[in-house]
Amino acid sequence: MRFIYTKQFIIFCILVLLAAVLVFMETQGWTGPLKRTVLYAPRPIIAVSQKIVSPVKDFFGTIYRLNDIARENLELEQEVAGLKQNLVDLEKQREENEALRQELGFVKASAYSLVPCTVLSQNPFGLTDSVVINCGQSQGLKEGMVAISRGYLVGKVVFVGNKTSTLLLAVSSKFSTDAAISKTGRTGVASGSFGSGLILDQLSQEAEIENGWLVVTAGIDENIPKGILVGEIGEIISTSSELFKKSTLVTPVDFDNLEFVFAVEP
Amino acid sequence: MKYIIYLLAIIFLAGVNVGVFSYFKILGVGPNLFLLFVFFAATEKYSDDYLFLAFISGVFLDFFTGAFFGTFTLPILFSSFLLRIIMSNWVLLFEVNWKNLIILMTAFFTSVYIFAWLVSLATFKFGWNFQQIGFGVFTWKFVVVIIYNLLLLYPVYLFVLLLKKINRNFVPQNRNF
Repeated sequence: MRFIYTKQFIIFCILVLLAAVLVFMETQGWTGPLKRTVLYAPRPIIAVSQKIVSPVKDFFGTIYRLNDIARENLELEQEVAGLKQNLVDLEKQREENEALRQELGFVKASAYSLVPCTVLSQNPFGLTDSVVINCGQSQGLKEGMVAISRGYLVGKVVFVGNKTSTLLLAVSSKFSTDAAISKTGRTGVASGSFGSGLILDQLSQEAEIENGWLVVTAGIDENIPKGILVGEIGEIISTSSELFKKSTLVTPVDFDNLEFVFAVEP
Repeated sequence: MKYIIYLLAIIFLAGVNVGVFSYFKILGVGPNLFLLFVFFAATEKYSDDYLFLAFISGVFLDFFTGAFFGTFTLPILFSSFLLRIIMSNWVLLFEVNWKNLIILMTAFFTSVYIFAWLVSLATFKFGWNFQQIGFGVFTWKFVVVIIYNLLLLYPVYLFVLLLKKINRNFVPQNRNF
């Protein structure tokens, strides 16, 4: 027990006390300015290193994935051809829809507004499934709102400070939201799967699902607008003996390297 | 002056950790340069500066992970202090070789993770924390964390040596870390 008489033990106690004060400040929501300072301080170094590392990684990544890219390109070309045909059909339907709406006097559904936010910390340590963004109460963010990237759902706001917020990533096992299959309207629950991806659960066994079908938010939660893309149906991972049908969801979002997101105001 | 240098070093490490290693994750896990830095500082026998470094690194880690404040600050402080007691009482200077360093580093990381998990659990129970660190961090992920950090042990050691050199140039009378 000799160490309790040392100078370092006194310093240790002072720092623990200081940490306790900061914990109290955090519970009162007073650590906002300190958080911003800490998160912004390394930004120039992060920007420079990303500028250097990103092209290097892309270059080697492209070489490594050359075979996959060629195959993917072929598949995408076929898909584009199919989609072009769909587009023509949809355009025709849209015009018809517009005309019918005018006839019936329907009010046009208002599109949700987006708040652009920069990701300040990108979960570099893999310890938590959340990121900090530079938008907060002053930008109109509220707890429960969702954020999108590349048009796909990336997470839910779980903590709102004055100018920063914490976003729980959609791949987190603690994340869940109501979802619906765009084609059939069947509702289920989209949730994270321990940081590795997303799954669509709670679908009735009778529900028809097919690989590639789009899954969107169902709009049951008042904070989450209807129709936000969650992902595409991947493979079915449940058996017919289970109570609910379950499948993986494929999303093009790189959750490890998010730079910008849009918070969705309902 | 030396504290400003330490602060700049931690900002630099944060920049590298986020800017570089976010692109080089192994099975979704990145290294933790802060912990390695504090580890080397705590193994330096004749300096108390490791406590300052542990505190600042903890603050950075708390804010960068989006965790409740104290989730990492308190565990890093406790674990580095514990490491110092072990170093001072049981590990003699000539015994500190790479093999022992690896064992100590693994013990230090384990201690930080266990403490962080406990703090996170406690703050979650109190309703202060919206998310708790899952026990998943102790599964195969932890093995990857240790291996990845072991790979970076030597580069961080070189960084610590460089920092010492800079400190000596700026603060000639300082014989500490």
